Amino acid sequence: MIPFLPVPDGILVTLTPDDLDLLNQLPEFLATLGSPAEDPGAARLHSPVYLDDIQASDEWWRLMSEEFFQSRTADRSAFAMILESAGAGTVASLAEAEALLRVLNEARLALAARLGVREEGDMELLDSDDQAALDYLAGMQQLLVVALIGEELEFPIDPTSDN
Amino acid sequence: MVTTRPIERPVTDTRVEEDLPWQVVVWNDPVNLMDYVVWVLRRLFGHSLAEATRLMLAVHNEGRATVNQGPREQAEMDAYRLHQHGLWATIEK
Repeated sequence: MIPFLPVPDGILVTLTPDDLDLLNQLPEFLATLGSPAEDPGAARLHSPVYLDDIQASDEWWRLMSEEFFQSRTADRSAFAMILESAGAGTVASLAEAEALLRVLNEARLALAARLGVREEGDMELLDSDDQAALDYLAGMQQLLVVALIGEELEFPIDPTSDN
Repeated sequence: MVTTRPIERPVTDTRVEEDLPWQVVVWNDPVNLMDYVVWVLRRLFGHSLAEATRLMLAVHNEGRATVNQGPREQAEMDAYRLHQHGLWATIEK
């Protein structure tokens, strides 16, 4: 079964029960993110914008916090809505599919940070279950990128690759 | 997130610095996928596949790359959109 297929109205999303079991956990996982000062997962999604001016960076995050909150809430709602009917197959608009992609990426970044992935090579040090979870999310992300761009990837699926 | 290089601030007088555009910089990290980064750069900045790929490889190989530049307000908005997509972006003169 191909989980993400481009169709004229958007992306046809069809997920297996196993996919749904795993992906339905993501909004719940993201809801557990705490304060960036105490939670590496939250900190990864709250990286400084002005490296040489922490005050300016903090002010930027303060000013943008409502934008981020609304955007991430909307993405997670779209994600949950798509998953609700993805067992039988549902067409997500391009905007909804992009929201799905952002949530997949957000969860993968936060999970990797919580697991201690900080530098190149850290991923290989994870235990096999943690690595499998990150690899699974990477694979789904890659498949959705393929569907969104409608062409073959330049850097074919290799869950261990990074940017 | 890997930050392999310190920020290099240009040594200029204030007048010249004020005229410089703000740079939007994307930094390497060990988690974001190469194709995802290319997709984000194409989606947000309208880069061609070749240009987005060149920038992504610069991020990957050199630790960072300037992906756009302009007035501060625009740079801050670019940083917002990049962070919204999970890329670590900073802005600098």
